[in-house]
Amino acid sequence: MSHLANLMAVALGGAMLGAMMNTLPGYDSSFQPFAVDAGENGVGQGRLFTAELIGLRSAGAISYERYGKNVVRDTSATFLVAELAISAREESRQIEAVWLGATGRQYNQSTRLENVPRGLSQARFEPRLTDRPLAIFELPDDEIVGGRLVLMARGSMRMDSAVHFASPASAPERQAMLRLGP
Amino acid sequence: MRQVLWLGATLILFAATLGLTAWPDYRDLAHQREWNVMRADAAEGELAGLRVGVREVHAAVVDSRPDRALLHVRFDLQGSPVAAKAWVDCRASLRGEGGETWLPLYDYSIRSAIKILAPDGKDNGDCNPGAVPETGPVTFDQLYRLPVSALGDLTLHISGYGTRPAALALEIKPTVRTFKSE
Repeated sequence: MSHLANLMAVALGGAMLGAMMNTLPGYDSSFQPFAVDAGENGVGQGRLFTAELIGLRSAGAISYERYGKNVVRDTSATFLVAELAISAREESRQIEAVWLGATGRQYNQSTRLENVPRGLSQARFEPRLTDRPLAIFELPDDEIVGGRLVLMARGSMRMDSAVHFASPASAPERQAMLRLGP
Repeated sequence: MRQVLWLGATLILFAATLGLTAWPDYRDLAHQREWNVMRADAAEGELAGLRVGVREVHAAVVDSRPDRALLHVRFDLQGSPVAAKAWVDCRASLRGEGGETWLPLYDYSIRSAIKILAPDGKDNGDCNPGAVPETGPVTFDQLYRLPVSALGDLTLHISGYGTRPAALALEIKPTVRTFKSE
């Protein structure tokens, strides 16, 4: 009887160790933020910020004014402009955006347009203040429908959340030139 | 009896392993958070060998955006260079009544606002304990962006990497100036 109890204890221990090893998160998933889906109204709430996707626009070229000079950027692909409303929840924060394309590729914001007025890369968000920044991506047309916008706080993403917005039902009408102002 | 001893030894070793593993993480966390906040009665207080004094607090509101303000805080640090060195760095954040935290702006494009708001038109730079001399106090200027509704109940929290989790809290009452937008 005693041998049977010892055997059961060893078997139970082995089973528990096996279960722990099988559910041990990998390095990648440990450093990934949790996905939080935005509501149907386009508003999503992460741990550190609240964001609303106001709309999407696409264009073949973008123009804006910087230090009194007109700047024009064009592309052989498409500029996708996401207009957002963001406020920090508890502490001043910077936010970064990625576009998860329909093919599964991930697009960071275009560094060619970092200096546009209201650009997300330059903005910092404060508690109880809502600002309306722009996130701009440069990507092929067929990545828009079926793709989705993801926002996350800049910096450490461990145990943090990333807000996933719903995919657009149709591609926004492509403008030849989009003028961005303050 | 022997089984109880083995069980006891296992529990002690488990607790010791847990403690040894968690201790560096706990120390790291304690250097980031302000758990032990000492409230100063007046506009001056002392923390870890350095005397902190708030000298000027001015807020500016532009009439075209009446919901938000830029807040300029001028304070000085005084103490021995040894104590200043032990601070390592300086974090000067503002806390609202709901526990919100506003961090200073580090964007140089907006820093010239300090010269407009400061009575002497000077910008003394960001808080830096390394600049504290033996001879007397040294002055710093910080700039914040926050909602106008928060101006009535604000506390300035000052701490350094070496002082945290201890921090000094000083109540501030800003004077508000309204500017006309062009």
